[in-house]
This record gives sequence, C-alpha cells and structure tokens, in this order.
Amino acid sequence: MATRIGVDIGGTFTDLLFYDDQTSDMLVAKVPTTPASPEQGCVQAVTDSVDGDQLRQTQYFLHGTTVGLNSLLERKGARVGLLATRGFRDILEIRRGDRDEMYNLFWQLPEPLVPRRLRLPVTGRVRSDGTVHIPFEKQDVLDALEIFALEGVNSIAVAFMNAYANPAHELAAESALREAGFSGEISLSHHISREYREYERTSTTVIDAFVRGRMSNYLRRLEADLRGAGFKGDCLITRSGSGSMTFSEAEDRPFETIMSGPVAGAEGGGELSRQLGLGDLITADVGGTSFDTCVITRGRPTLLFEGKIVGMPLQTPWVDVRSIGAGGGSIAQVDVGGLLRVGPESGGADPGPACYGKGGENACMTDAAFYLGMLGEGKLASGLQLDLALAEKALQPLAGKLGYGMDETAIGIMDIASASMADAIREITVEQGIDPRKLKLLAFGGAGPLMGTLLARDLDITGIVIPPHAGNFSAWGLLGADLTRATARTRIMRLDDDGLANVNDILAEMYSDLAARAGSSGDGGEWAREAGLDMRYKGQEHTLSINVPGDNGRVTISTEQVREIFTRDYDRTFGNTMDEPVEIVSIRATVRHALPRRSEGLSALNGSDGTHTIREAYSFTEKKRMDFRILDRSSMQAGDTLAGPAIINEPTATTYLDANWACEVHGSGCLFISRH
Amino acid sequence: MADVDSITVEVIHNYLLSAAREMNRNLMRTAYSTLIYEVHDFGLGLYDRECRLLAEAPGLAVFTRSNDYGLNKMVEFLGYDNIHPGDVILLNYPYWSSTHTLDVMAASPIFHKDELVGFTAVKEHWLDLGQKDPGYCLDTIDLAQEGLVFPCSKIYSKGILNKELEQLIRFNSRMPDRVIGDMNAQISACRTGERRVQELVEKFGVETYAEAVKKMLDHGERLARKRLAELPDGTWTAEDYVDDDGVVRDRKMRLQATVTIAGDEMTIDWTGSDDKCKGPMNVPIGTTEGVCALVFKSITTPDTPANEGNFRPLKVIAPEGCIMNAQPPSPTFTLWTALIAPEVVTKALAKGMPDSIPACSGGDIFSLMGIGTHPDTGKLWIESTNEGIGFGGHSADDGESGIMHMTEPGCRNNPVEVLETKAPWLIENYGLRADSGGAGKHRGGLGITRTYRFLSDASALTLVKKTKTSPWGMADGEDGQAGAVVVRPGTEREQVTGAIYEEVSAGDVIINRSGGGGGWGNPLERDPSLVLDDVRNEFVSVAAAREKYGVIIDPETMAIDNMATDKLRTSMSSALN
Repeated sequence: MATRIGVDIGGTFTDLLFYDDQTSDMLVAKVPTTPASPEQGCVQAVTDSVDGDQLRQTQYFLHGTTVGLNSLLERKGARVGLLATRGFRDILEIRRGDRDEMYNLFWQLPEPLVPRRLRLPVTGRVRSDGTVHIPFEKQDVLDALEIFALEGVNSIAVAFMNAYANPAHELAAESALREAGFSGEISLSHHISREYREYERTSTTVIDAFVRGRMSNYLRRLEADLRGAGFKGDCLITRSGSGSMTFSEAEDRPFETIMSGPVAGAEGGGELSRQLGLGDLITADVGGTSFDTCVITRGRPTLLFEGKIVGMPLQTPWVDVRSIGAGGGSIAQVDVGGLLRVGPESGGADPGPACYGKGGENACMTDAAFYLGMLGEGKLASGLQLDLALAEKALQPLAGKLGYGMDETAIGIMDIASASMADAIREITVEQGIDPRKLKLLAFGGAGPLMGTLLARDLDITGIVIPPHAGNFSAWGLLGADLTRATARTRIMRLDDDGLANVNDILAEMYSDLAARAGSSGDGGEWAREAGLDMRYKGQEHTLSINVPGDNGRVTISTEQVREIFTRDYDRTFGNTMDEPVEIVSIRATVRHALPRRSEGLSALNGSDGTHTIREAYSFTEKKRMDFRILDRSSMQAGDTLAGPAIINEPTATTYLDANWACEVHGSGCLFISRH
Repeated sequence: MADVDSITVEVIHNYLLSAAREMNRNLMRTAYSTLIYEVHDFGLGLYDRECRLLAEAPGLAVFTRSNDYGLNKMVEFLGYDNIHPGDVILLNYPYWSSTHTLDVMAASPIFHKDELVGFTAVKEHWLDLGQKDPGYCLDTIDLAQEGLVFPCSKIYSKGILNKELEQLIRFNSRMPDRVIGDMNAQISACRTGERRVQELVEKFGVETYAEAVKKMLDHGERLARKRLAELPDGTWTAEDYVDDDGVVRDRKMRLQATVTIAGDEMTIDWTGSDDKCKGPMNVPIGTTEGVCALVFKSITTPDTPANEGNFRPLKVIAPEGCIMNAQPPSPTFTLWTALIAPEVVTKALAKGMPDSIPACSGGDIFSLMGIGTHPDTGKLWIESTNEGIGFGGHSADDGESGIMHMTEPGCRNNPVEVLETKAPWLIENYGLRADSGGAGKHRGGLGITRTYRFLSDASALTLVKKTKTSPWGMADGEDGQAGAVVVRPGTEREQVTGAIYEEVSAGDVIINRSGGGGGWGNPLERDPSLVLDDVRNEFVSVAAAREKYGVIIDPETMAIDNMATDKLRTSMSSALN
C-alpha cells in the first residue's frame, strides 16, 4: 500500500490524480499548463489540491511530461557539437533520402539539429566486425574542442562508425574531452544503442545531447520544488518504452523519456486490463487535437524498437502509440473537388471550436457534436457554456457548399472523424494479425467517451469500457507504472541448443549491466527479470520480437518450444510460415520492479441524486433525432444498468450512449458498454 | 446504382489508403534483400476490376504508374474467364509490365464471393532471373539476353502453389533462396490487400463499393482538371540527353518532349526523340506513360493521394519504334532513359511557368552495385544502394540536398554499417559535395559522394547515365555540377565516367558522386548573409562565393567585406548586361 500522486502535463492542461491506498481516497485536478516553465504549473497543481500532511506521507510522485518532446518540436535545447568518424560528418544531414510526400518537388527536410560547421571529424575507424582499421587520433578531438568552445557548444554528441560493434574510440574521445577540461554534457552513441544503422543511431545520440541539459534542469527544479513543499518519497518518470525510471536515471538517459506524455494512457490501459481481467484492449484517447491509439495484449502495451519525432528517428524502445490529427478541435472543410474533410488542422484550445465563443469561426468536430445534441447541455468542467448559435453559424457555410441540410453536414463530420480514427485502429491491429472485432475498446481523454459507440459501430466492436475520471485517465495510468530498465544486444546466431546456452550467458552479463546502471540511486527491493528474443527466418532482415517465458530471466524452455512460439507469432503477424531455419538476432533484457499494488480499480465520485432530464439528440443507430436521457455519472451506483439512448456527464468528459447500446456500472467504477 | 453520399466515398477512400500502407509494411517486414527493406525498390497499389488505380503506397513512383499498364495487359492476355479466386499472377514481359525483366509484378484478383471486385499489384526488384550478367545488364542487345520471362504466369492457381513454376524460377536464378524469399514477401503483400478489400466490400456491399469508387475517381479527375485550368495555356518543347545506350558508347541519345496545355487537358508528345537504340535503353510505352503521369501528378495534384481519375486529362504520344515506345524484341534492360525523361518534361514546362517548376535535379538515381563471391561463405553476394542528389532551386527557396530522385521518392540509401556487414568492402567516406549545387538566388541542392574500397575481387557496377550534360539552372541561375563515377582514383588506370560494369581487385577504389541541382535566379541577387552561411558550413567555398555570387568573405574572420562585395557585384552585373 502506498500513497501516490500522478501528474500528466499535456499541451493544454496539466492533469493531477492523487490516490491514497489506505483510504482509497482519490482526488482529481486539472489546471492550465504553463508552457514557459511547466514545473510551476505542476507544483501549483500539487500544492493546491493536496494538503501538506498528505504530501509528506506520499510515497511516489509519478510524472508524464512533454518537456523532452516539446524541446524537439520547438527546437529549444542545447547547442550541440557532433564528433563523427573522419569522412562521415554528413551522416546526420544525408539521412535516408526518402520523403513523406511522393509528388512534392519542393520537399524540404527540417534542418539537422547540428549544423555542418559543428560536425567535426575524428580520425579512427572500426570495421563492422569490431576490429580497428585506423587508430584513434586524440589530437582531432582537441582541435574540435577548440572550435566548439568558440561556438559556445555546451553538449557534445559522439557517434563513430561501427561503434555498436566496438566502442573503444568513443570512450577514448570521452576521456580526451574530459582531460582537456570540457565540463558540459557528453552523449556516446554506443551508450544509447548497440544496434547498427549509423544514421538512426547518430540521430538518437544527437537528440539525447540536445534535450539532456534542459531535461536535467527541469527534473532537478521540479524535484527541489516538490521537496520544498514537503514531499519525501521517490520521483519517477514514464519511459517512451513503457514502465518508469527514477529522475536521476532519466537525467542520464533523457532520450528514453521523449514520449513520456502520450505513453501514460497506454500504461493505464495495460494496468486496467490486468486488474480487471479485461483481456486484450484497444485504447482510444481523444483529446483536442489528436487521437492516440494503442493495442494492449496480455496486459501490456505493444512495444516497437524504433520511434520517430518530426522526421528524426530514435533507436530506442517505443510504446506503439499511433497518433492522427483528429480530435474535438479538428477543423471541417470542403475541398476544391467538393468533398468534406475533417482535420488534420485544428483550432486547438484557443480559439478552439466556434461554440467556445472565443472567436473561432471554423466548424470543428466539437461544433458538430454539440449541434447534434451529443454533448447534452454543453456545460464544460471549466464552467464554459457552449454556444449553439455559434456552432450553427460555423456549420452553415459547409452545408451550403455541400448542398446538404445542417444535420446531414454535422453527421458527416462525425462520420468522417470516426472513420479516420477507426482506420488508424484497424491499421495498428490488423498489421499485427489482430482482429479488432474481438477486442474491447477503452475510450478516454476529453472526447473519447463521446466517440466510443461511433467507433465501435465502425469497427464492429461489441464492448466498450469507460474508466472513471475518463478525462484524467492518463494521469491515473501514471500511478501504476512499474520501474523498468531495458537493454538489447545484437548477436546473430542459429536457434539451436548451443545458441540458447549462449543466450543465457549473454543475458547474465546484461542483467549485471542493468544492475550497474542503477548506480547510487539505490532503488532496492525485488526486481523481476524478463527476457525477449528478436528472431527471423535465416536470410531475412527484419525480426519479430517474442517474449520467452523463463525462470528469473534465464531461458529454460527447449529449442523446439522457442521455435514454436516464433512460428505462432509469425503466422499471426504475416499470415504464413516457412520451413527455413530460424535465427536469433538480438537479445533483450528487462528488469521490472513493481510499485506496491494499489487496491483494485478506481473509485467513482460519490454524490447521487438519481435525477435525469430528457433532451433531444441525434442517434446514429436510429438515424434520427430522438429523446436522450441526460444524467450525471456520479448518480450511478455499482451494478446499475442503463439502456441507451443516454448522455452521461462527468466533470472531465461526456459519454454518448447511442440507442441499442446499454451500460452497466462495474464495481471498479468503469462503465461497461455493450450492444443490446 | 446505389446512391452513395460523399461521406461514404471519403470513408472508403481512406480505408483503401490504409490497406495499401499495410501491404507496404508487410512486404518490407518479410523481405530477404536489402534492396527491398532498406532501399524500398518496389511499387504497389490497389485497383478496381477495370484495372483503375484506387490507392498506392510510397516506393518507386515510376513502378506504380507502370503497374497500371501492366495490369491492363494481364487482363487482356488472360481474359477475365481465366482469372480465379486465389490466383497470383507474375508478369515481367517488359513491353507489358513496363519495366525491365528483373522488376516482376505480382498481381492477384480480389473476389467478393464469386464476383471479381478488383486487383492488387505489387512490383519489386528480383535479384536474379538468369539474365546474361549477374546483378544487372548494361549492354544487352535483345530480350533473349535479359533472363527468364513470365508472360502472366500463375505462381498460385486457385490458391494452390504452382510448384513447377517455383522450381523453374529456382533453377533459372543465380540466387534462388533470396529470390524465392522475396517473392513470398511479395505474395504476402498481395494477400494482405485482398483481405482488406474483401472486408471493405463485405461491409458496404458490392454496389455501394463500386459506386463509391466511381465517385472517388471522378473526384480525382475534378481536382486535376481544376488545377490544369489555372495553369497557362501554351506549347513548349525541350530536349535533354542520356549519356549513351550502353552498346554504342560514343553517342548521346536525344530525348525531346513537347508539352501542350489547352484548357483542362495536357498532352505530352515525344516525337523528335531518337529512334530505337541498339543497347538496352529503349522504353516500353507503359513506362513512358508512367513517367508522364508522374510529372503530371506532381504539378497538378501533388498534395492528394494518386488515383486513376487524376490522370484522365493527360494524353501521351510516342511514335512506335522511337526510343520512348520500344517494340519486341528491343532490349530494355537498363531503362535509365525513363529516369532522365521526367525532367525533359519539366524543362519544357519551365518555359511556360518559371515560377512553378524547380530547376533540374542532379539525377538520375546513382545506383552502385557490388557483385562477387564472399570470401567467408563462398557464396555469391550482391549488394547495392541508390544515392540522393541535389534538387533544383525554385522560385521560393533553395533546392534540398541529398534526397532521392523524383522517380523514387519512397526509396532510401543503404546504410554504411549495413553494407559493410553484408559485403566485403569498406566505405571510406560518405558526405555532401561542396560547390556542387548550381549558383542562384536560390541555390541548387548538393550532391553526395561515397567512396568504396573493395576488400576482395568482385565486379563493380554503376548505373549512372546523366554525366555528359549538366543539371540545368533556371531564370538566370547556373547549372549544377553533374555527377560522375571515378574508377581507381589516383592510379594509372583512373577513369572518370558514368555507367560501368567491370572487374575490380582487392584494394581497388570506386567513388560515386551524385549531381547537384541547378540554381534558380541570378546568383548576384542572393542575400549575402545566406552566402556567408553556406561558406561557414562549407556548402560553398570562399572562392565560389567570390566568383559565382560576387560576395567577398575573409577566410580568417569569416566576415563579409561589404564594400568590396557591392563593388564586385556592380561590376559583375554590368558585365552581364
């Protein structure tokens, strides 16, 4: 049992959830994000909503933030210099040569994070087998350092050719820099990744160097402020690749926190699935500007081993959260060919949808939903009252251009938005060989519960789950994030008994490396070990990652059993199998320290008055406007059932329950929605 | 006919695009050769039952457009009566498939119950089909030298693998395992497309689906016509040259395009181009149509996904037997003519709309291939990569450096660390070529140089056919530097050339230099601070800043001498007038 606070900083709002395991008290807050110094809004939210005594007794502060991500998006980070193997300083700028827009003859890539004059050559060359072809030349590093000093470089990335196979030259460069008195940050490519592909590894190293200073400062200030307010527990931050790490480890490996924000919701989905035995899930997190989706299988979000931010690759584990530009603020327009489109442009939070009355004139998805009555009376948590006349005014020109009625136009906007979200879900499931119709949909975020029954209709899904505090669910997700550390080694070998024995030797080394990484942060306690293998048919390049069941991180099953698991997963993913020999390419080790279990589920808000009103809204099932029951979520008790059509309000979200759908309040406070 | 609203059309359209992306991912994830999974040497799409393109995924743009023609020929040859559920059909007869023999198209019909509702088509490069030379051919003189031909052969018939055909492929290839592995990846992509479209049709019904597709294509046509109508009317002619035909090495080959825009229609006419050539540089008509469609799309509707409707306002003319309309048994293996051709069309268009067309890029695609017996395994190895080029400057900005030619926008370079792991060679450098971008108010992008040292005896092949003419500048901008291949630099046997296929010994070096883009606008009008930036980053040398841009920079302090610059610029511009 442990008391904890989760704070998720988003683009528009900072969400807080405080949870006392002893009393099961839960507290929710939403404050505006303070982009200039996000830690201020964060600490403000904590001190405003949690009293001093409670804070002193809180054991964990869990954090999800977009500080690293925004640093990249806004290009505000360190002044980075890059040391590269002589002859290869342009790797960062040559990239891979492809472009996103096939027919655009004017394609322009974002400027590289390090300009050419700050990418300097160092003599020394390692071959792909790790042998040294040309010895390292220390003087080149010293010459480069002089130039860096003149140019005000305060963070140096070192990325040498084939360093994944032999890091000696990178280590030598680091010593040379320190001996010469360089006191800024240093990022070495082999510390970051031991996988090949020089551009991707260099890009990750440069990103690390770029965000390192800003991230450290941010985490230190935040921790100091929390300590100042009386907090004595552990500070943790979510990793892009699932789980969490201590602040001190995050300062050392900041590139692992880039996706810290968006991952929180997926983590929450994983925990809810495990706690309530919900089975495999699809998360549908609908906010103001984007729709994020992730698949949860066997209680965990799907992992990838490479990510990408504004065209820059990162060679690091990455929870497979897909985003598309579709949310409440997505703008609807009629294109020159006469077709209706929704998004990806967004009205954001300010001015936002027309019905916000903040001067927005474009019709957004929220305008369409409100016009159709799907948001009930349209009273938002912040106290804002949506304006129907403004929504109507914004929709009118679209209806005119399309030659449609007003309802038809608004319905069209909802249908198109829902269909594009459904396409994203279909891609992310079907490409892994998962049939979305067999999964439950977990809908959250400000507009997720609004879209739930529409998405389920488009995907032929029969079960939807809406967690309590649906608008703050990402912050809840933070609370359960286990402490994790992960590493990978590329070592190509045949899958046979000798190979597996080898795997166990390597795993042992990797676990001791991971233990060393903990350093002085002194996080004792039980660490569970997990092992994974990246495998393929001999001759292929890409691999499929499989989890190997085993005993405390040792592989104890037979060669045949490993092959069976691989074949089954391959068939599920690609729809065929082959008789070729199978290879092991990489070995992955993860250690996991579960936070003390919190009591099952989430408790809903209390305060029943049992009343409801009736209001007209459009039903997508019945294809007409009809009477909907409007009620407060707080008036519903565990075990209650409710048949649609109905609209359920709570402070952070609105659930639209279409006709022919019914919901039941689960003991955990979740709404379980199913088709009649 | 069902009446389908525009919302359903948009829903179905997005679904098809996502299905094509998924075919793409499946192909890459299961492929065996780096050419597919690193370089993306493929093109794929989904079609309706009349073989009209509905959706495609990025790869080699020229491939997808050539599939359009190939699929039509396939249906014409087999007849609808001979196409059954579960079939996968291979086609690489170049005059139909519209690329060379090693680019094999696999297509499969999509059935909803017993009704044909469309096709998938996936074209990818196969490593070897027993053509006369391993890897690639630069000097074939007829089709018979170009390897095994599939004239619409079913590798799967009604869902059953045709083992005899598979054996035939196995026994006719120098690299049977990788070829069969890549073929399986290709088939799995076809199957993915089939399943996804079947689900879609199941959901909406055949009638609604067909009507939605019709509306989607009509919408594509409207978008293109609307943009064409906004462009100026006129007729413009331009020409450019391909280095040689591979067999007759001392004669450049002339391409000529006459482009006419009249109202909302465009015609591209290749009359005036050279007659068919002896070597393998002849282009089948389907490829010519594909090349024209690519440029047409780029200037009319670059920001929306491609479908058949987009191309209805385009007419292509190429007299039979000219280099742009090859007839059997003319050799077509190298086909590089088709990579030079698009920028003959843009060169003509540039005369009528200088503000909407970029200057010439430094391309073609600068492929380099190594072929040999690996000393560790004793097996044949083939590894290759394409190289980015500088793009042309244009009215709004500089050209981008080092991106893939317009014919292969989804392709990627092969990483140094991957190439060194797979093959016995060492790459000595990989960088941008200073001063290769044409000077201009908006500078051309820079080309790239990559140097290979072979560590054991092998064959080296370069596919580079635009070294004898320069990438043209525009609107008073200067030409970019042409690309070049340097064989054994600094030795007595050094040669500076373009395409080669020759034996190299351990220790031999080859440098592949791609071209820079042409400049746009008068270089003397370039903002001196941008010139200084280029000099500080060594994109432009101090000497070139002075000679081309009239900007004088002190190499020690890296400061502009403003007075001297003004004076020099004045005298340079009066010398021009």
